[in-house]
Amino acid sequence: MTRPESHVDRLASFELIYRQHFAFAWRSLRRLGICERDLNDAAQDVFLVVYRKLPEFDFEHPIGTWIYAICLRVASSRRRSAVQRHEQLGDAPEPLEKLEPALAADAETQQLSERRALLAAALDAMSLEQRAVFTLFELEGRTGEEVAELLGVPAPTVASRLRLAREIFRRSIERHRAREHFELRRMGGER
Amino acid sequence: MSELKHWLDDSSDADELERSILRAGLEADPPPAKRDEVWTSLMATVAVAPLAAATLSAQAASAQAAGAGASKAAAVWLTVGKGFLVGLAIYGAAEGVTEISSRFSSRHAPVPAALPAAPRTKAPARATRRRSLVHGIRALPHAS
Repeated sequence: MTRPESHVDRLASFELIYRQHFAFAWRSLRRLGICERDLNDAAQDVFLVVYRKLPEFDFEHPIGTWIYAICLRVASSRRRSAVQRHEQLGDAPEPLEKLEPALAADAETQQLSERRALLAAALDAMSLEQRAVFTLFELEGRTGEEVAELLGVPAPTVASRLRLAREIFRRSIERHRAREHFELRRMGGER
Repeated sequence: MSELKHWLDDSSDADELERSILRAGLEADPPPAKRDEVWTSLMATVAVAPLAAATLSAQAASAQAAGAGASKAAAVWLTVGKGFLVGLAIYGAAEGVTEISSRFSSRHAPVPAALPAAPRTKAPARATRRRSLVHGIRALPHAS
């Protein structure tokens, strides 16, 4: 893709970028802790920045890296605003019962919903930087080098953040296991 | 870096629960309608932004022009006002002089000769009587 010269070129380039990268931006925002009700606005914020900065963008660089950096800034800004307003930004994902009521009774769906809630809780315990590395590496399936490039940080920094994020994730899962174990024992004791 | 293994790989050191939790987070793609929904909002904003900018600049230009016009009008009104005040002051001064001079001239004016003399008034009756009484006492002969 080349640098757009006219307004028409700019709109055409923008539409192409939007179609190619919308899903990635959406996933990234969601994994960076933007809740369902704010996802539309956050995605719009990201692509408004893309549109405004498009004439200055150096098309020698990968667009995905640029878009991820914008997603990170938008998520960070929303996180700060939420803290100032004493809101919880990374709340649990919408329960599937709300999205697909017909599936509510399904045990498998129920289990999926619980696991998503567990993942959300574990990710919420991480800092935004750790969260970005963890989700890009473990969920997006990027390599360490790709994550380093996307975030614009050295590879050892990515390795260090990933190690810390994994520790936080494991601790969160361990707490869940301990709670489940306690519940089972309590139920057994009651019988 | 290359020795790092994704936890979703079976050969990694993650356990089954950890993997299942990660797998639950894989399906994070937007519903197809969301892409069009956000695009529509974006196009509304992107289309409105240049219009709003143009409107703002036009408003700014007209405000500037109005400002220049207003300053000219203010200068004209100031001149007219000054003229009015000066005129008022001159008129007031002239009226004042006329009034003072007319008062001054009326106080020292001679009585016109053509005016008839004021009629003499009679002495009050009581006073006349008293005098006559005095005259009467004087006029009485001595009793001896």
